[in-house]
Amino acid sequence: MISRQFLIEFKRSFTHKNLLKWLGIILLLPLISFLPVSTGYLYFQPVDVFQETVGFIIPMLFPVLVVFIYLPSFLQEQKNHFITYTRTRVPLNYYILVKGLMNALLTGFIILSMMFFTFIFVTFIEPNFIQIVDYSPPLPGDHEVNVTFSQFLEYGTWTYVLVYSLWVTLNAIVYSTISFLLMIILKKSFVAISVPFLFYHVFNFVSGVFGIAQFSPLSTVFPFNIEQQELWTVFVPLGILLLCISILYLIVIRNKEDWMI
Amino acid sequence: MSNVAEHLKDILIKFRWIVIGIVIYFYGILLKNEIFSNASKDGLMINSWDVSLYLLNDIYIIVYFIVPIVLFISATIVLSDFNYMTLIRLGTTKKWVFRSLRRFWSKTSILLLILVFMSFYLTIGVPFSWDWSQYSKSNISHDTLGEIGLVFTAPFVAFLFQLGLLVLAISILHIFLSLFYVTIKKRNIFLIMCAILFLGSVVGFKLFPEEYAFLSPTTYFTLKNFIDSFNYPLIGLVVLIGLFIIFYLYILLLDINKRHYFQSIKSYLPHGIYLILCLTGIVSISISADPSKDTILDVLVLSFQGSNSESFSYFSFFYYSIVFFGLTYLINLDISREIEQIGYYKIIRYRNLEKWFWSWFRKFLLKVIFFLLLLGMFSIIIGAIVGLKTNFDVTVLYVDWYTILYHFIINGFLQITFYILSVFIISWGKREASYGLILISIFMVLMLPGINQQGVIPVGLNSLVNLLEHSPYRITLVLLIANIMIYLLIKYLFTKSFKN
Amino acid sequence: MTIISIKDVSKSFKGNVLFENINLDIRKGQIYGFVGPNGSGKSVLFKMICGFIFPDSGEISIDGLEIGKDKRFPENFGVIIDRPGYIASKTGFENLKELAMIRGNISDKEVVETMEMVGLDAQSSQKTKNYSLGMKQKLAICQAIMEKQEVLVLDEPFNALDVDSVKKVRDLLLRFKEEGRTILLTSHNQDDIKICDEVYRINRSKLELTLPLIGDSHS
Repeated sequence: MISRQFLIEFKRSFTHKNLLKWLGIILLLPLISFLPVSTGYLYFQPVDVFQETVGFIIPMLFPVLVVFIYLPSFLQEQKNHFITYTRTRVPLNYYILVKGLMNALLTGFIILSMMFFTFIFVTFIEPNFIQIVDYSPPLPGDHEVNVTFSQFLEYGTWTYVLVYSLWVTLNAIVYSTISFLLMIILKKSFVAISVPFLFYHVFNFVSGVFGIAQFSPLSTVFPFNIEQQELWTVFVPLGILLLCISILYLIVIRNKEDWMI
Repeated sequence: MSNVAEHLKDILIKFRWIVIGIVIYFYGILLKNEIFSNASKDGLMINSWDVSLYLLNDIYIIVYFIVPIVLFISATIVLSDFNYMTLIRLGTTKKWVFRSLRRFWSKTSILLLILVFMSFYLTIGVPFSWDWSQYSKSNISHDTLGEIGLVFTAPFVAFLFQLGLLVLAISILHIFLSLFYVTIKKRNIFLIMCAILFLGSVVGFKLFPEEYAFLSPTTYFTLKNFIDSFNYPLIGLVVLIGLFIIFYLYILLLDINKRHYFQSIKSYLPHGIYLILCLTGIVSISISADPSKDTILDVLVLSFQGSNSESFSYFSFFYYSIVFFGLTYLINLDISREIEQIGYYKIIRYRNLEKWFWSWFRKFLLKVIFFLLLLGMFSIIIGAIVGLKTNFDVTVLYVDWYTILYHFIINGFLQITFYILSVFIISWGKREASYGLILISIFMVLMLPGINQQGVIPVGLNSLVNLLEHSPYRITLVLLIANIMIYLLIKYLFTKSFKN
Repeated sequence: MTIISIKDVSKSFKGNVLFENINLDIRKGQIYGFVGPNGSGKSVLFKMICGFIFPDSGEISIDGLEIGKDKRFPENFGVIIDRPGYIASKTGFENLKELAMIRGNISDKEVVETMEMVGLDAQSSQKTKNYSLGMKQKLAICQAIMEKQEVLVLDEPFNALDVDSVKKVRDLLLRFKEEGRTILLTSHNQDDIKICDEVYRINRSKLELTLPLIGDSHS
């Protein structure tokens, strides 16, 4: 039953509007972020361009991006009391579970694709077809700027990109799942949708005030504005978020009668 | 048969104090012998205070003997006395907490008396003096009495202090436990808490490094640990009295149905958090300012410098976002309520949408002006409090103070108005406030370095760093044009929505 | 004269709605009965009236004073809720004396008289831990009435009592009513409910008035 519902949900999500939105995120957003960083900087190799592209505009959009990939459709169902009518056809907890999984899956897939497309674009498409980036071999005295996760560069660029992209994807899933769970609990869906956004920006500021920027959401998900940190530091905010998810999950399953549907 | 057993048990219960006394006595003998042998090895004189204070400051007897007994007494009193029959007669939970404390001391005082009595009883045969002995002043006993001797001039004072400390610490322990039980009312969790306290005190004195020793309960039971942890014993007292006050305040709240208060606090929570964040930024900038050359207006400039295409720092960028986009977010919450509430009945009452729009938009504009004045005042006052120069010079920017105030207030007002109008358009068009978040995120992107190079995109223009490159009047012009355009757009949308 | 007023009170436990906007005025000198299936919230209602728990919304006032605002626990209430807890190593008399000492407004003699009234031996050296269930229940009744409390809130007062004792306690309650005391009680037994002036059934988080059955048998 669950797998069938999953299939139905999958088909339902692929509307024209959604497809367009997702393609925009996967293809257009990297290009838009690439433009401002394409000129005026000196690069040694494509992975530098990748880091610069990913680290410029995308971090500011990240917390809204991840909640707007799939959740607006759920929001519409909630607002129009659509879910009430599904109850006679499919058990409510199946329906909600499938929604949650679908949200995680699609959010993860699209963010991962966006990261990979960015890398493919700066590595293969740009140098061969566009050629506006200024590459120059490092001069003696120049040294690589290392950032957190550069630890994986010694296993090859692809390994680095894979590991780092999966890291961003994991965070995307966590952020959007928090919103999803909150949408089930809270009466005000606007607040539920904005919690990841608020958490992200408020903690960027607060960690700055207290001089612990290495734990800020920005510097752990997109660690390009800060010197290389030990890998464990990035798990501090993620750990907090995972704890929040666990608590929210418990609240959700314990208060089935109070679900906002 | 059972009567005999009962009788025996009663005798044993009455004998338990004697048993406790005997245990303390024998342990004390061991300690006394240790002191004797140490002192005689170095040929040092001892006096009665060495024995007495040594016993009272022995962490092992405190942690493994006194604390468990105290916890046992406390737990049994709390558990046996908290019932509805007692509560309904007392009238308030507050009275119950104090009654429980009284009952607790009626038993624990016997324990303390035995401990003190034994500490004196063991001094029989040891010479008496009002001063510290040779032994306690020497290095051998440095780890126990030496440090106490450095702080207290007379051993008698140290003894009184030790006694007072024990009474205070044990009282706080019991108050904590009784409040804990009153709050959770779950027997098992309460017992787990007792176990945690015991383990905490065992682990505390063994594992905690000195700088975290104040977290361990044992620190407050013996004078030696107390002095080790706090450079000034007064600070330790302040910690204890502080705890006492916190618990007392909590006791005052016990009998109130807090739900009403929580509900009223909840509605102000977003604004409260927002204001705290705003203040945090100003305070952190004021503290990092240099009192020898920075002025109170510098705080304003540094706080609200924001960012533009040329000058960017993450801290000021995030603080700008918190203050101005945070305000936009909060107003968006209100706007979404206005939009959701608007039904035909409301439109009919207002006759047209523009009247409806101005009915609430006016209030927001007033609030924005008030808010900007408040922010300005806060930064000046906080700057003055941390001791910055109180003249109207600006040292971090080569601009006059009136230009700065003009830019901060007038352009700030126009800029926020633009944000609010933009967010309104999105919320109105989509009938869903969440899309305002996308707009705010795009605004944030537009403030990143290298993007708004000409300063014509009406975003982030009220950043004070803009005064380095642009005249404030030019910025006013740009913002006015932007506001007029967006207002015309709103008018157009209103007429269109009536046609539909 | 209204002595207890319940206004728009709602209460739920872990998502389970027990009461939703209930309203009730309790008048002085009457006996009120509350019936309902297990877990319907009879004890919760009594606990809210006594201030042991607070309602989620709405207010409960005793003599015009709101519980949780003007006052925490009502004055002069005799209460039996849940299983009463006693100091197991003390006799019945010692237990009652301990409670009586809190307010100190009755003498030992009055404690003894109350015990005899419900059929307990005040002189017995038997510890409460050796009491039978019925004796413990009698002790609970004693503590609820010994200080001549104006209002008695009794959750299942007839539990575990033998036939004679039930009759004794019922007569006692009727006597108290004559004296002008107000009594709230719950029971599963229809016969017990017959002494009530008004009976309420807790049904789907509401209070429904169901009058006592016709053909009173208690008199």
